[in-house]
Amino acid sequence: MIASIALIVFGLTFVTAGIRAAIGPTLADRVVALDVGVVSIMSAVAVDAADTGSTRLVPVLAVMAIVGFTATVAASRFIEYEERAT
Amino acid sequence: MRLLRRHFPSRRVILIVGLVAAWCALWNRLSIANIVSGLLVAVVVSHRSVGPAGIGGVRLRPLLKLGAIVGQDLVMSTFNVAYEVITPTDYTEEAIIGVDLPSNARAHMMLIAVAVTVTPGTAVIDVDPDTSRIYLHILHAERAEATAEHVQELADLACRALPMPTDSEVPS
Amino acid sequence: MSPVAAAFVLLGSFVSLLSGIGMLRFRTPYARFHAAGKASPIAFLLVAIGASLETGWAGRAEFLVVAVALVLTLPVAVHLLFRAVHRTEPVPIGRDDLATDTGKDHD
Repeated sequence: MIASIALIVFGLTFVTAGIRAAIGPTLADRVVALDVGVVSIMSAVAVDAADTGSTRLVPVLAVMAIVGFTATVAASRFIEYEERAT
Repeated sequence: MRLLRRHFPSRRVILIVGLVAAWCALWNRLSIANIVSGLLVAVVVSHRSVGPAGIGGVRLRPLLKLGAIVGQDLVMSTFNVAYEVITPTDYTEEAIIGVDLPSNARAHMMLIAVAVTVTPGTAVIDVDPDTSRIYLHILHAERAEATAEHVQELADLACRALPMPTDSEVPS
Repeated sequence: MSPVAAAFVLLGSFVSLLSGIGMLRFRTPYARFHAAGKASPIAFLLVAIGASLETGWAGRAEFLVVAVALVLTLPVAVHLLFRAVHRTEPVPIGRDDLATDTGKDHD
């Protein structure tokens, strides 16, 4: 019951992040919205671990944290580089 | 023994212990094989030519105080952002301010930047390493002076917690 | 789920929703980054605390590694986005020491 409520709320967060990613207006806004989306999915996986008490999915969290960070850094470098090239 | 101390100063030992602990945590099991392989990886990764220089010492009390302040800031900044989000009127007045840090804070920029970003209503925009001037974006322009003082206190604590060795102590 | 763990999980989801609403409500990109970079790692921390009350010690150690990784990396990522926005399409705001010092005043 509680896990379902928490999952729905994280889903709402994901939806708001998706709206921000869709409307922009700058590229950096979209990138940070995707970052928030990744963190909300990570939290949802953690809620599942709290619900079932199993740690099978926790390594996925480590991978998502690292991939999300790398993606954001790459995107921000891209934003700076793109502006300089034009 | 002196050779051992020269190549494994206290900060590097702490780094190695932390890395081995993280390695075992990720493998989800504490076994001899895990500890040995983790030690191998940690020693290679923490070597001067590969990763960050694990030189200099660690002072526990300023480090704990820094951790306590950062933890408190983390909670406060959450309340701050929550307040701005919930209240319908927008009280934010943004500004970008420059804060001069002590010159020996240069070696701890990464630590200071992370600590500052979790401080309520502030985020690091840019750093000038030559003058060790740090540019912050703040949400409340009227609290600029207090924020600058707080950041200088954080930088001072970071310098005292992780003192850099003088040139004669650095192994060459 | 024990009541304490449930309270942590619900609090975390509430903070996460706040950061999502903040992303929608704030007007400038800078303020949106503030909402994203502070509230969302806190939300994950709270949920991780709640979850580590339910799992054993192995799970706790793993959650600790993930939480430390997130809290250390998210501010850096947000800082890079701040810098990218300021260097490419700066938003005019009241007082801007960085633009004044680098001679790129955009007024």
